Amino acid sequence: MNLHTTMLFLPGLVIGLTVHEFAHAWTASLLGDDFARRQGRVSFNPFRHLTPLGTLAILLLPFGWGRPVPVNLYNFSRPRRDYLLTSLAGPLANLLLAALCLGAMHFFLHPFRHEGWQQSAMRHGYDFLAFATIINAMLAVFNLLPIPPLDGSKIWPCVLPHGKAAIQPKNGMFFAVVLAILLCTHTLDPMFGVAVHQLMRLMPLSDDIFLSAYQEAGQQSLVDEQWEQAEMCFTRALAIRPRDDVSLSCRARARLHLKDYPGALSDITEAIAIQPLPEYSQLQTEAVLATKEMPDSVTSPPEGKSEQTNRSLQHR
Amino acid sequence: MFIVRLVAWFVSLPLLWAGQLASLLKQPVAAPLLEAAWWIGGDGYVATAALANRRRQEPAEAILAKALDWLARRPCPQIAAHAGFLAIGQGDIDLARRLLARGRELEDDPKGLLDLLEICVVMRGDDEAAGDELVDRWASRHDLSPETSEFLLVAQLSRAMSRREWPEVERRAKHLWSIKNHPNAAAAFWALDWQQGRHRDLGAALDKTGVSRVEKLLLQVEAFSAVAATAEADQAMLALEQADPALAERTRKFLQRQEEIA
Repeated sequence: MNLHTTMLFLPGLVIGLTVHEFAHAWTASLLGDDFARRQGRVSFNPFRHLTPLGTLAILLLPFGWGRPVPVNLYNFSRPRRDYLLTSLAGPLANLLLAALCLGAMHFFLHPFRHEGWQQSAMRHGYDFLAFATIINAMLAVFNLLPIPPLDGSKIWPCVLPHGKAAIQPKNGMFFAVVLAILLCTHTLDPMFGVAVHQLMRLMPLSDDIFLSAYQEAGQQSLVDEQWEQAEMCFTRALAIRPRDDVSLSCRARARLHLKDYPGALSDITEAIAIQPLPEYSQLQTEAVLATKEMPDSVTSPPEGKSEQTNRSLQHR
Repeated sequence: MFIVRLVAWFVSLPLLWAGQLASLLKQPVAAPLLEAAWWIGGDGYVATAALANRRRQEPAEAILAKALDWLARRPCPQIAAHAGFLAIGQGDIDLARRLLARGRELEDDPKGLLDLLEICVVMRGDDEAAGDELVDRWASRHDLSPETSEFLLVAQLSRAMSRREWPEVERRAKHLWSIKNHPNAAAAFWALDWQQGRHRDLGAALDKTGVSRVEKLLLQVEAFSAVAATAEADQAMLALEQADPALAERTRKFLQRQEEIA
């Protein structure tokens, strides 16, 4: 995992773990058990919920953990029901957080309607929310597994008839090691894959994703020498982000091949104004030479083909 | 100061993790590692883990002396509580009481070790009234540790049984049983059945809960006394006197007092 991904992934995980543990402590307190509150666990302060080893694991391994919330079952009026609710609270809080992040993503869909730092903040905000949504959904699914010390192992004894809320496995460390092996060997990945796939279908797509898709398709069309297709892809990309030097230069290249020399010259000149790169200058020279060699009737059309394409796509 | 403590805490972490791993594997090196982690990091709970690991190799007297030494050099409530439990184990209730008072003077104890020590001290002391008063006073508390709450609930159940308050016995026993297969709850259910004319084997009912021999004898005394099965109660008391005379004496006093109250 690179630093950029880690920086996007970590806040979501830390917030997810904090909210998860807070939900356990808060629910226990609501149901009459103040033991966790006494230890300062009814708090959104991450330092109260994270453990040094669990946090280090987050950075080095494909998983991490928070400090378990202590629950005193003797304080509950109906131990089985109340322990069930307390155990469910953590995964439910993660699902709620994932839903909130999913909703908040709608505010970050059009970063290119802004300029400068605002645009950058919008793009990073969308990425952060996407990661936070996925991580929180994964935390919820993972914690419902009936393997100690996960919440799922505490839920089932409360649901099954004649189950005891306080049953603790004798080989807790054995189960923890099994869980670590399952995670390190990616055995649980298909389960996470299904959850993530379902979630991705609900995610609103940002302009940034469409832009990348159009640019990628356009680049491929250039390689395949499908110039009309390439011109259309980059025109669509420019409809999303008008001042993008890469899209402008690529469309200029496509237009050169389509013999739309004025359009190519206009694009590459604009690209140079944004980012004066040497390869752009070379392309501009090609466009200028091609324009000069053209008959007058072609160099100044009443309304160029490129303008028509631009307008029709932007209108769409 | 905060920076120094933070750095010390970070430095203590590798020692703590190594100590915890060694403790898990029951290695003797766990105690010195945890001790070093405590001296550097200053977490009182790590000190109690170090003392508990030392207990595997050294006698209780030596551990108590070590705990008192540590408490004098670097006072913290967790060490006071741990030393208090060791003192109770050796029958020195006065020392445990002094350690409890010392622990209360020190900083907060969020995990409630001092509460547990307090209830142990009061229950093991001679003042039965103080024990009853503490149980009543703490009955409304919701911030106690599970161990203290269990102790409290068992005390309430034993008191209700010896006073033959059967609806109270049933309520407490059901609460305890819904959490785990507790021997006191099993004894209470046996007594409730006996009251209703359903005579079962108490020994067999207690054996299912995995109770120790002394505890089984104690529960037999309590349960037989509660249902006025005098001959069986005397027989169990005789066996308890042979197994643990001090416990037998305390149980006799407790039952006498509850009889008087009832």
